[in-house]
Amino acid sequence: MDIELIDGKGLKSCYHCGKCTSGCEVNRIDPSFQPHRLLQLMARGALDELIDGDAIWKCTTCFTCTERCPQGIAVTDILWSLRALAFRSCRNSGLLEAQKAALFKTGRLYPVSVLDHKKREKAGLPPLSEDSSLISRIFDAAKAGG
Amino acid sequence: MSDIKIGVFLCTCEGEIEKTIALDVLAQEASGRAGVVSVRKDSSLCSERGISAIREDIDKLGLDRVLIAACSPALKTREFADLGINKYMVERVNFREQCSLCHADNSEHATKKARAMLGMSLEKVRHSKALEPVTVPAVKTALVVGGGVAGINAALDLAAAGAEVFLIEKNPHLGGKVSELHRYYPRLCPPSCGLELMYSKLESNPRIHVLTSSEVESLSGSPGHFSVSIKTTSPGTIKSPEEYQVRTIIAGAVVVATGWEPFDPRPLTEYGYGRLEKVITNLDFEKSAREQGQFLAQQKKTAFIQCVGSRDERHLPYCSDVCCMVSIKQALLLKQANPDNEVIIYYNDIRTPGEYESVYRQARTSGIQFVKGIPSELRQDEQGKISVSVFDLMAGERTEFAADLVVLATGMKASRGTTALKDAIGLATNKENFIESHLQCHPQDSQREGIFTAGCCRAPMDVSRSIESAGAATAKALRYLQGEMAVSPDYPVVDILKCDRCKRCVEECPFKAYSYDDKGFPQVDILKCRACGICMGGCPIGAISLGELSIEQLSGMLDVLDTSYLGEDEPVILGFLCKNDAYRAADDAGLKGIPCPANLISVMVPCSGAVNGMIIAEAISKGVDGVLLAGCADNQCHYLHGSALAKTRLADVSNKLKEMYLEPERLRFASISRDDPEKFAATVKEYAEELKQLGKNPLRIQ
Amino acid sequence: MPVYVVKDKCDGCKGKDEPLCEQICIGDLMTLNSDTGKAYCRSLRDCWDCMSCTKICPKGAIEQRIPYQLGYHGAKLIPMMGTDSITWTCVDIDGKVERFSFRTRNKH
Repeated sequence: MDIELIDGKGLKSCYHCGKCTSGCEVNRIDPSFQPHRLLQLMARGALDELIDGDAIWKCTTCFTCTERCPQGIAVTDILWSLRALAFRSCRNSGLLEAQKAALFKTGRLYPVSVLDHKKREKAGLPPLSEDSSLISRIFDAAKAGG
Repeated sequence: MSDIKIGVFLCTCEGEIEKTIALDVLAQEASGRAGVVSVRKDSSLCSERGISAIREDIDKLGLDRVLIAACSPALKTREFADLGINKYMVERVNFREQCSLCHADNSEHATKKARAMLGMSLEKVRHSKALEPVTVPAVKTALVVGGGVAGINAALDLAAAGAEVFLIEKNPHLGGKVSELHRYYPRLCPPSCGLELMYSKLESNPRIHVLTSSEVESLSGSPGHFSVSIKTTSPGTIKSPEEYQVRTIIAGAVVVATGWEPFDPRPLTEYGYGRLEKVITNLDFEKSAREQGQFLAQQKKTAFIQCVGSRDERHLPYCSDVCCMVSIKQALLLKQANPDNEVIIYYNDIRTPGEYESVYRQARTSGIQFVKGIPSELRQDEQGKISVSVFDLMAGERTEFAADLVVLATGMKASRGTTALKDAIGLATNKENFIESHLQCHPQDSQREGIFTAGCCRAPMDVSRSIESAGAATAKALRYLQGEMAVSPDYPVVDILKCDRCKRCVEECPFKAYSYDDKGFPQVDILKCRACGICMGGCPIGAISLGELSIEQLSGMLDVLDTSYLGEDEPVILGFLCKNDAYRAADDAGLKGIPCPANLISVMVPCSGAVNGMIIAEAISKGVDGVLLAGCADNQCHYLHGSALAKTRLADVSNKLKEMYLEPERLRFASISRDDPEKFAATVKEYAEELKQLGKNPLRIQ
Repeated sequence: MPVYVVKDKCDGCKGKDEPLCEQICIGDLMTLNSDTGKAYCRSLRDCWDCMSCTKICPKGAIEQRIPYQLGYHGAKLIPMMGTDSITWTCVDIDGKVERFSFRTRNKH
């Protein structure tokens, strides 16, 4: 498990400005998700700890961190590659399991919330359908190899 | 050659050298050589007694050239400077540092090598020329381009030193960026105080001519005598387009002080500069503070964001040196105007070196908050304030601040004036368009002789450093303003009869000292030349020779070199060692007693780039087993790309050797720095071993 | 023995108007191809095999093609220029290598 494989030399040029976490939309809602912390742990070689946990699965890949990093570090890609590593090493993540279950059941990674209804109403958009009957048909067809 | 009278002087160095080298034997052999009129052995040639003995011999025997076999030519230069003979007719042979000291363990080999060294030096001195320094008239006028704080100070310093000065400024007024500032740091004093003093000094000095609304159009000529064309634009009326006046001045030296420009943070759209009214830059802050009396007191809640667009691979990759102090200064002004003003500085690193550290401390203790964490974006909230949301890395949690004003600390860029001047007069700049030469050793130089830099056109710096750099540029420029200049005669000479006009010398000269005469032949401006010899090294015909070291001399030295001087089975390595680094390292190896095999015999060259490919080829042809080019590492060469060129030339000859079914390993480049004698000794040892394995040069038998 | 320019080594004499081989060619045959920026021989059959171009090329980019009458494929004739000498390497068709060094008399 080589840092070089995942990210060439980009990660080493991090100079700890914290801009990635400052702009992270997930961090605003879930303060425990701190991209800068994940990168620092990775730079120190603590890969095992990273691919074991839930943290790397919380990234929504909005790319704000990558856009704004002054050192041009591809933060999103790094976190993404950690997911690949975790997957290949068959690491379990409670969060990932929950997301998978939700996906198969409702077609969404996250359940639709009251907040979503409110925001859509404010923006003049129709409400989201919560009818998941079609979803199981899609997955069944896929499983049948169609 | 019958009129050559060589005197050979062998120093025992108080017996030291003689312990290892059999000087009497060599003295005997030398006295029989062509042109040698006298051979004298002495215990201390550099002593007063020794020097007078040399002078006496020169006088009585009519010697016209002298060989001094003693310590390294780098040592005792003052003692041997005045022997009553042209100094270029004195050849020093390095019997001590590069022979007796480093081969102290093998006296037989040391003597054999000394014999070979003596032979080569005799041949070299046979072709020496009595060069005389050239004196060139120079004007006592200096040109300063740029009327900011650096330019003004350079003008004042130059005038104080006796020069006549033309100070030109492209704007209608002097003062540059400094005149737009509200306060200086660290004392929070107004710039106008210093500026007023400077303006009055400028006015009252009859030697200084200030030309505003003026720019440099073109520059030609040489250091000591530059011809500069200056265009002055008078403010035009609406009817006629700009009227301008062109005048030519002759200047001995030029100081470039074209200043800086602020970085525009608009590309960082996340901060909303240009879109959000309350988001401004440091410079905007200064202007507002200066122009609006109540500005400082009114800012109840201010946030500073550091490193905006600086230290950023996508914008300015470098640090602009001053922004931390600028923001701290501005924060202190806010607190001074009203202690209840809330100020937060969001930073990545705080850089306040030296005595400025106490200002940083003062800022913290006065209640200015420092938060480590750079905000990713700025949003305007419903109350019209700027919402700063940042992850505070020290507290480990997110923090929000609703600011009345956000100040972006942006860096300094090279000014348009610098770029325009660079195009007009052909200056070299670095990647970021700042004028640069060899930053460490010659910070005031540009790559053009006689042209110097002061202030921010060279790199971001604060006012105190700008003024300091102006003084430094003045000191350097004075050499060209004395009314005349003595030029050392070791500059290169082009043999026009041989020259093919291939233009390589013109192209490769790092200092652009060559130009074309009216027939297209290269001619060197001896005032711009730094005698590195790169032209000599690159000429495919060998038509260029330095005053002190010619192709003829090198070729002759190769002729007389006995390529079996250590015996049939020992390889002989010819080493071309660069004067500034490798040669001194080799000397050091001797001084430190680091043993070195006697297989390498050295020739001192100004730069490894001065070694011509044909000479390398010739060395192999004449039976040398290996050639070593030892110079600086690529990014440290005193002559910019000398060592890089040396490597290329070596590679070309290596290719030729390969085609000839000779071993390309017979050529090698080594980066030896001044303070690495161990590496030098190790390189020689390793190379000699390798060549022993390789076997004799097949061409040696002839 | 017509000439052959090794493209990788030729630098077109740094793109100057007349490369060295063009300047020295007695038959006015060598010149610069303005498209590729490399030198080439305009008429191989007219080459007299003087090898002036081969000797002067600073990058050693010119080679001689030895015709079958003299030495056929394996044979090579390679000059290495010193300032006052030339060392010739001759390789015959069997691969036997011989070298000869000569003084040149072209000092002024």
